Amino acid sequence: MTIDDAAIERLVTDAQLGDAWAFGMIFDHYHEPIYRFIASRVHRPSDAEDLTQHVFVKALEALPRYESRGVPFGGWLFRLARNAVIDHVRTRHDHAELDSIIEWTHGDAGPDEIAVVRQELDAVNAALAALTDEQREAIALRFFAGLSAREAAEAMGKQEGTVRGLQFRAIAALRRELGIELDGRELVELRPRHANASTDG
Amino acid sequence: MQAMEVRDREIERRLEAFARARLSPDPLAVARARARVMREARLQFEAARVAVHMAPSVATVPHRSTARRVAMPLLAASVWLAIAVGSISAASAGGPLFNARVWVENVFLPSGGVARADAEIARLDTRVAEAVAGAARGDVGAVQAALDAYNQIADEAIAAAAGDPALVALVSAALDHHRAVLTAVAAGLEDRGNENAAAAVEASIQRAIEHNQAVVNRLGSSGAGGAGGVNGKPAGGSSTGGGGSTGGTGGSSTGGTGTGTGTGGSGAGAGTGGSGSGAGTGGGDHPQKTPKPAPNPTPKPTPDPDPSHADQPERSPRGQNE
Repeated sequence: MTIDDAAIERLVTDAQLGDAWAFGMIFDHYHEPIYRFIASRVHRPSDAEDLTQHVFVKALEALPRYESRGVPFGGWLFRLARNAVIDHVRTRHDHAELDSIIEWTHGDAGPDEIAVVRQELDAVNAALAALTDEQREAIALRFFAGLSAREAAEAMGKQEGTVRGLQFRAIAALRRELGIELDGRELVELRPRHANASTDG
Repeated sequence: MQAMEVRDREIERRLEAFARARLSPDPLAVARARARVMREARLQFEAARVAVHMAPSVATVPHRSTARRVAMPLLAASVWLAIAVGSISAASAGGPLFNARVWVENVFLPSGGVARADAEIARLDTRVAEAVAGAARGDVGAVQAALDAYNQIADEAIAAAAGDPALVALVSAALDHHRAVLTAVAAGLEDRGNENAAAAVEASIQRAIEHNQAVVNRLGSSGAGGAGGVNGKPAGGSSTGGGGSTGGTGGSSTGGTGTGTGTGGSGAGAGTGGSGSGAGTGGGDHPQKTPKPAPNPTPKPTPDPDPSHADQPERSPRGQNE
């Protein structure tokens, strides 16, 4: 996030007044986070591309009705994205899975390094698949899209504390799945939360 | 607690690596999406501006509850009406949305190369057809608007073609052809009964001819003369094209096929049909009289720097003879 919230609000106001350049800036700022969030929730990159474009067109249509009122614009925009994903999954009878998402690049790494990196990515993928839907969504919004807890809460329609709790339990589950072990004291601290996380799923 | 933070950072690192490798968009797809979304945004903002412009009286209705109840449906109706009327009136030069239409045409132009040059020439053909149709009606505003747009598009076409001799030759041939048409129309206007309108239209056309000539001279000075030889444009060919185009314009404004037959001068095959893209400018229910071609509409022929091409037929600016 390279533009601060005040600058975003100014861009949004300008776009509401019909400034195409301002809307272009909003697109540039939010496209990748929105895409990352959507791509983490749908099967194919092509679906993610279409849905991302769809979200911005919807945002364009809904922009005149947007009123800040303390709601961060990012949260509002991601709520559109979340609804688009939900509609997509519902209409396609689809389930959010990460298995078929394409791996874009490995830079200049050699075959051995690529194999190691791929193994690590597959492990993360499997760990994410083990999370509950809400935990995965919280992780996608906070880490893949880079939203603040407040924005993520707005996007998910939940309290900020609830999102922080989901994130905490998701990270604990990821640690466990990825074999990043905790010491005994931390295990004691986490045990009740882990029990809660199990009931989430 | 410190150990936990370290592990959290490790989790964050792995998640970030995962997002970078598997959740990053294809740059080409991003560019495509941006182009589509921005096109949508411009169209929507432009429509909103037009709606505001077309319904100012409704927007200033006082804020009374009953007035608002009446005003809101009226406003909605006005927006739809504005869009409908705008779409129709945009077809005519001098209409309120004419500039918006020219702008939209510009947005949808191909990015470069022959396709762009062809598209620019098609737009120039359309503007000339609109000017000719306006002149036939004695509509000074339409002629003025069409020729102003023509001048602007001509400059853009030259800028887009710069550096490619073949494209410069293509554009140059089209401009020659248009100058011949406009010269014929200007000459024909002298015989018209309405002196004031005819004088105003003629003044606009003369300005366009001068601009056109200046552009062609600019092309010539930048080596386009030699490029003209590439296409083998015979002297006098443009006068034939002028007649053909004039006839074609009349055809298109009546909603016909736009077929134009070259009538004046020599240069077989140069009788380019009237620009079909100008169809509808005069409205189907108002057939335009074909502007009377001048007895000798042949403008001063542009000298062909390469006589070896004199035996080749003129290349129609749009490559068609509809």
